[in-house]
This record gives sequence, C-alpha cells and structure tokens, in this order.
Amino acid sequence: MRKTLFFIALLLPALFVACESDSVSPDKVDVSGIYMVNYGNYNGVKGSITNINIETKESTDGAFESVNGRKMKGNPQYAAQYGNKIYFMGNSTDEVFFVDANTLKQSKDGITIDIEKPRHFAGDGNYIYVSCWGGDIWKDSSTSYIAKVDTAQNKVVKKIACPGGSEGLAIANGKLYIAYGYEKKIGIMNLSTEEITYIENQKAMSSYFLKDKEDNLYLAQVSTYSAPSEMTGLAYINTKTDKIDNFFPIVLNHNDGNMLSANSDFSKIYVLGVAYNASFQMVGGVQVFDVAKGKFESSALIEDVTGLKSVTVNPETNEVYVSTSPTAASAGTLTIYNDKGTETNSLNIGVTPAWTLFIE
Amino acid sequence: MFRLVLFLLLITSSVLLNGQTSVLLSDTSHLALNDTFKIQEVEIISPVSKKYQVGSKVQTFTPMQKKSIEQGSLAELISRYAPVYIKSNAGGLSSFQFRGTNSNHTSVLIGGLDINSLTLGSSNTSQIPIYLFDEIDLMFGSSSASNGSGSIGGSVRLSLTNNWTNGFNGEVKSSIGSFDENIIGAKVFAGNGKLESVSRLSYYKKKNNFTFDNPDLFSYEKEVNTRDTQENAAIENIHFLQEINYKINNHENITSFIWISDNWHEIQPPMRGDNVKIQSNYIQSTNIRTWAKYNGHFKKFNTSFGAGFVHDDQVQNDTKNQQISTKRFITEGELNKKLDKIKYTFGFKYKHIVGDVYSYPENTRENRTDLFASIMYPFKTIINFTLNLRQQFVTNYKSAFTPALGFDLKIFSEEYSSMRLLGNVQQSYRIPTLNDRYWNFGNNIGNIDIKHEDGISFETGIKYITSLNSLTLINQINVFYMDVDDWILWVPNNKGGWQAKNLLRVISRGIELSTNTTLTLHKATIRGGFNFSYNNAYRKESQYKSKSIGRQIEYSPKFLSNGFVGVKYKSTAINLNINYTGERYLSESGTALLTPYTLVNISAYQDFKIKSEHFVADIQLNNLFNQQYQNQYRYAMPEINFRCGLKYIF
Repeated sequence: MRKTLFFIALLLPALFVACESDSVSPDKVDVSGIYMVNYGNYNGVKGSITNINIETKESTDGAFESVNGRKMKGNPQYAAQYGNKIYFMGNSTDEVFFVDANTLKQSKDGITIDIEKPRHFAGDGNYIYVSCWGGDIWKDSSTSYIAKVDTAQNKVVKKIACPGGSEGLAIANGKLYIAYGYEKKIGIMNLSTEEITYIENQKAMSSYFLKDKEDNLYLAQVSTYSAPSEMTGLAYINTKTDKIDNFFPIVLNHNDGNMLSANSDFSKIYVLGVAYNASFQMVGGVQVFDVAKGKFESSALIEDVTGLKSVTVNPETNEVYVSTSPTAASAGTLTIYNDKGTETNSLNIGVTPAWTLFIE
Repeated sequence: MFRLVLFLLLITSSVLLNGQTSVLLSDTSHLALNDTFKIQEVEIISPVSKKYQVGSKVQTFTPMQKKSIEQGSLAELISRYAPVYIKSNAGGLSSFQFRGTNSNHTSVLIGGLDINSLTLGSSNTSQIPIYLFDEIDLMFGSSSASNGSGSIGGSVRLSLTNNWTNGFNGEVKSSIGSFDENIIGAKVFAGNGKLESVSRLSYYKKKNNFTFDNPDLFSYEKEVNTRDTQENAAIENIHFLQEINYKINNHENITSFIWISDNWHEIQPPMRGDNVKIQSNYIQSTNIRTWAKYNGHFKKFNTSFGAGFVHDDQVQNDTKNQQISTKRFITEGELNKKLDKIKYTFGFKYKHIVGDVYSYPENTRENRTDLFASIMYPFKTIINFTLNLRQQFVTNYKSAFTPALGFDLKIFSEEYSSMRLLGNVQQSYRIPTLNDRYWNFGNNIGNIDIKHEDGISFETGIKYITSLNSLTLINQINVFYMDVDDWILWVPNNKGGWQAKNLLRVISRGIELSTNTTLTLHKATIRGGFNFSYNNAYRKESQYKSKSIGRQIEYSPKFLSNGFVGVKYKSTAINLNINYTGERYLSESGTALLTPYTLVNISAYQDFKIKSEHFVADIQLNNLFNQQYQNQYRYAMPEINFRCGLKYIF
C-alpha cells in the first residue's frame, strides 16, 4: 500500500501542472518607431507589424498583437503615417483602420461601410482619401472609387466614382492625384469641387507617386499582370501645369509594396526595378535615379534579387531598407544598405513585407 | 417482423429526426460504461500479436472506452483517452502528433496493411470510424523494426477479432447530434461456427454549421468578439467492412476482409472578418482495402501467409484531371517457432506500388521488399529480451537496416502487487512519400534524391500494479528520448514554389504518466484514470535558416493530459471526462502561441428492455463549459454540443 501512495504522490504534481490554464499572452514586443508592415497572405496568415530596433539590430514580429492582444484582422494593402496615427488599408477584412503611431494601440473599430478593396490613401486636413477597387476590378474596371473619410467622425462621408482601378494617391498643390492600374490615364481631383480631370493616353498603367520638395510628382508607370507594357518608367508631373514634363524609362512592374523612396535631400530616388520571371516571381534590383542629372545611375544598388517587395530610405540615416520574401506565404528578410550600397544588416521580418514606416 | 421494423426504424430515424431538430449543440461523443467493464489497460508486454515488441509502451483501448465514443472517429477516441495530441479542425481533417512527431511518423495498421496514404504518408484520423473495429492499440515511440517505414513517433493497430459466430446476431444503432449530425451503424454476424460472415456499416453526416465567437470580428470599441456561423465545413462518410472467415480446423484458418469507404468533406475555411461569400472546397476520397490471411502450419513451423490490395483515390472539387490515385499490392509471409525457451520468427513483406497522380511522371512504379526476423529470449523468468531486425529494399532507393532491442525485467512480484522495469532501443526510418520524390507541378517539385529520415530512440518505464479485493490500481511511468535526423520539410525553392529537402534534426524527449483505478462497492463500480505527458520536441539542427533552433516544435504541446471518472450502478452509467491541451507554437517563424484549453465532456447511458428486446440509449454532452478554443490556428471549434443515440441489439 505504501508503494501505491508513493506513486500517487509522484503523480500529484503532474496533475497540477497539467491543469494549469493561464492564458498565454503574446510575446512582449517593444515599439521603437521603425516598423515593417507585412501583408501576410490573402487566404492565410494575417498581416503583422515587425518592430525594427536599429540600436540592437534586432527585429521582432508580432508588434500589433503584442500591443492589442490579438492579431490584425486582415491583410494591410497599404499603411502610412498621417498625423499621429498610422492608417491601414485592410483587405480581407476590407476596412480602413488606424492605430496610434507611437504606441500601435488600436482603440476604434475599422471603417467597413463603403470601403471595398481599399488600396491606398492620401490625407488632407481632417480627411483622408482612400482609393478603392469597389469589386472585382479585373472583371469590371468601372467599379473603383475614392472614399472620402472624415477622420474625426471615423466614417466615409462621400464616395466619388473613379473608374479605371484607382491605385496610388498623392496630394500636391491642393489637388488629389490618382494613379490607375486598369486604365492608362492619370486622374487629378479638385479637392474643392471633387471633379476629376485626366491626363490621358499614357503608355502604361501607373502605381504610386513620390512627391518632391517642389510639390511635383514622380509617378511609377508600370507593366501589370493584365497589361504588360514596354514603355515603363518614371513620369515627372509638373503639378502647376498638370503636364508630364519628363519621362525616365526603366523596367517597372506593379508591386504591392513601396516602389519609390527618396533620400533626405531628395538627390536620389531608389526605385524597385523588377519584372516577373517565368515563375511569376519579382526579380530585379533597386535602381538609383540621380535627380540632379535626371537619369538612372549606371549601376544599381542591388541586382538580380528574387522576391523583392519594397524599398524605403531611412530619412535620418539615408540607409536603404530593402525587403524580400521568396513566396507569398513565407517570412521575409529586411536588408539594410548604407548610402554607398554596402550591406550593413539583415533582419528576419514577417510574411510578404511591403511597407517600412519611420515614425516622425 | 417486429425486429425488422425496429431495424428499419433505427436506420431511418436519425435522418427523420434531424429534419425536426434545431441546432443546439454538437459533435463528438461520450461515454457510457459497458457491461464488460474493464479498467484501462496500458500494456507493455502486449498480446500475442505484439509479443516481440517487449519494452515498448502499448495502450489498448478497453471495450468501455470504445463504446463511450462508439460512433465517433479515431481522433475523438485518442484525444480523450491517450496522451497523444490530435491536430484537427472542426471539419473532416485531423492527424496524430505522437511524441512531437508529425502525422507521417505514425503508421496505421490493419491486418498486414499500412493504410497511410502513399502520397502524403499519413492518415486522416477523422475518417477512421471506431465502430468498425473490435480492438484498437496504440504503440508509443519507434517501431520501424516491427512495423516498417514510418513508425517513428508511434503506430496505431486496428483489429478485427474472430468470433467464429454460430448463428445470427447483430445490432443497429442510430444517433443524432448538434449541427445536423446523423449517424447510423450496423453490425451483422452470421455463421455456423466454421464459416463466418461479419458485416459492418458506418454512415456519418454532419452539416457542421455551429456558431462561435469570431476574433476576426472583434470590436475594439465594445471589446467583444462578434458571433459568427461556420459555413462550408460539412462531412459525409460511409464505410462498409465485410469479413469472411473460415476455420479449417483448430490449427488452421483463413481470415479476410474488404473495407470500402467513401469520404467527402468540405475543407473548413478559417475564420474571416469580412462578409465575402466563400466558395465550398471539398475533397472526395474513396478507399478500397482488402486483406486475406492463412494461419496454419508448414512443416514444424507455425506459419501465416497474407495478401492484400489497397486502392486510394482522391479528387478535390471534382477536378477530374487532377486525380490522385495510388494502388498497392501486398504479400506477406511469416514462419515462427519455439526452440527450447527461445521464440523466433522470420518473414518477408512485398509491396508493388503504382502511383497514378496527375503531377507524377507517367508509369510511376515502385517495389518494396522487407525481410525481417525477431527473437525472444526469456532468462530465468526474471527478464525477457527481444531482438527485432528489418531490412527494406526499395526500387532505386537506398533504404535502412533497422534493429531494435527490448527488455522486460521483473523487479518484484508479490501476492497483491508487482513492479516491472521495461525498456528498448530502436532504430527507425521513414521512406519519403511519393509526393516528396515524384511531385512535379507548377513550381512545387519533389526531390528524387531525397534521403530517408533516420531515427534512434531510447525508452524505459516502470509499471506498478496493485490488486486488492475491491480495488485495482495500475500506474506507469515512461521516459523517452528520440533523435530523428534528415527530417523532411517542404521549403521555398528558387522558382517561387516549394521543394522537399532533408533539413532538420529533431530531438523529442519526455515523460508519460498514467494511472488507472477500479473500485467496486456493492452494485456500483467506480472507475477513474489519468494520463499526463510532458514532451519537449525541438529542432536541434536545421539546414534552413531558422530562428527556432532549440525551441519547441510547432503544434506540439509540451503538456497534455486527460482524465476520466465513471460510475456504473446496475444498468445505468454516467461518466465525466476532462482533456487538457497545452500551448502550441503556430509557425516556425513566429513566436505566437495557441492558448491552452480544457474540455469537459459528460455522458450517460441506460440499458433497457421492451418485451424481450434489448436496447441501449445514450446521451453525450461535449464541451460542457462552452470553452472557446482553437486547436488549429484560426479554425473555429464547436461550443457545447450533444449527441444521443439508440441501439437495438438482436
């Protein structure tokens, strides 16, 4: 009988360990102000934010989850800081939501009403303008629209029809510029009247804008999956005349990640010059555009890289952050180069890393 | 006539009743104590068929345990009564994770057949109805020397017993449950004592439209999840198993079975936060498994010779040009003899495999031949030694030689108690699946040069039994250490797809405890049991860049436990069952963990007679405390649910 009691005594501690039911909190992730926003995978892994700590040269995924206690609802198609908030254009769940830029804390529900397949946004005062596909744009390019969001009320106050697959947006000289992914045109919306005029007959579709110090715009004109073009490159739009003053050809394909980024004095623009290979991977490099000379440098920052996702310049250090991920479902890598093009660091990041944010 | 009416009534009742039942609760089972009450056996020295596997931990589910989830799946049975993690969603897909290994490291055996898919290397435990089988055993740890390729983490043996029925008897059972669940089962035994026919039928259908709190619909303003309804997760399976057995004389017999199954299930979509209508994705699989065996004598040897055939066929969304079909023809022969005290056996197994898969090269064929031998040597009734040896030969592939050594040492044996020390050392291996080698579609490419996985394991345990007048107590502790090299993973290749590679070295070590108690008080029997496992399974080395070296492997809980207590008084029984599943990592790259959960289930049954007809009614309430949990990341699981059934025995 003593042996029996001995065995029971031996098993008792195990009982308590086994029945422990404390819920597990997500790992604690510090927020440093440099974030990689990872799209995730449309039907799989949800979006995430990787915190980049440059001082310790460490990256930790799950910053959103750490702060909010739960994973992001959907997949962020685009994210950027506006004021003291970071706005996310969420897909699957289709919503526009924001977090505090300093803490990453979400306190309000995302806007879902009148938001369908949001792509990009640009802010002006109390409003942000959100480009939305509005449906299966690849079947019907007429469904796209601009959602005007009142940031104080946190709701869509107006839908402005914008057929053609509205994509990247920029506000310059008091006007909203609209890139289109399904029609070869550039839209210009008067913010007062909300009427849209067009620069027609472009040689290629367009993706994203980059605003220079004179409030003029560089626009990535690209090949897309459904509309390949041999006339791709950077268009320079004079926002006073609303004419394209110049065009700098280079191989560009639309990419759901940051394609254009300038250094702090705007002397160089880093461009994600990629094309699909036979396996539908983005292969290419980061080309460097010399703004003063008005041409691309003869040697790229990096070349022949597979799975390129984004390029962004750190505005304080001028280091170039390049993200890659081999497939749409695999974790990525963030490689950091100094302005001479020498690799200085390489960090693990989340799945489909698309937008690097440097919080001001 | 009365019996015939009852039979037909039961067959049709669940369908009729379900049409009138609103969804309340659902799925799974629970327990009722059986007349043939028996404590849970955790045998280390196994029954005759496993006699050469001395020193391995074997768990045989008792009739009571099987009856408690009589119309459930193997996944339900194991997750309730064994310290084994079942990775599953609420749809029709689940798999074993024995001792930190994957589903393709567990063999599922019936007769001389290993029924694991040749393409995936694993079995879907949701598609194995326990109603069809008389005995189910789990063997923990490696047993490649006994069972062949793939038995690295564990193995499951499904058995049919030979009753040599003389007469005609059987049963029919019908159950309904939450979420439009209908189950029908029937068994018919007929024979003259020499020639026997046993027919078994199992039909399962479930709409599976349960409601749950959807964290993807979390309101940051109200701080609550929104209720949602699971869609596109229906299941419909039908299995028919026919045995024909013939007893030539007391020393010779021929047994045979054919098991035909048709399984259909929708692939449960993960939780979503939008209102997008998700299209139904479904998988239809048909399996034909047949085996015939002669047991008798050849000269001075006991001998057995068997032959069988397995045809697996699967197609997704009726895409006929993407058929996945394999066939295998198997023969097996074995001679065994006792020479003085030494028992020995030797034999062969031959498989001819045909892979007819849309993404394989044409004429994918393979032959596998196993030669094996076993010796058991008892020394002075104190210790038993066994040695198992196996060499497999595979067409154009270098396989492994696998030895295994086991022992069973009696520490003491008294009138009311005994204690034994057991242990074994096993070499193990796994031949890569056909997909690992031959898949070639899009950018996803198999690897014809891939090596087999190679493992070694060490295990020891103590088993202590006390048996007093009204109390029986069985306790067991096992510790194990397993080292598996060349672990195969599919990883991204440079073409944007995936490729199989030998990448990991995985260590799995742990401790398993189990205790079972039976107490008889007058007309009541009280029975309880408890299983606990601590399992540290981690990547020791990786040839793929990984942050997770040394970290617990994904979907492998360190802590797992289950316990049960049941009371039977006369013809009424009630049982309570508790399962705890510890936290699990979701992915290799992230650090997020799935929250641990505890499920409580309760069940009861009543045996009764109307006139002279015998019936059993049972009811089960599962997830009694409405636990919100995820077994697999972002797959909703049902809250409290029920199942009730009526069985007619004739």
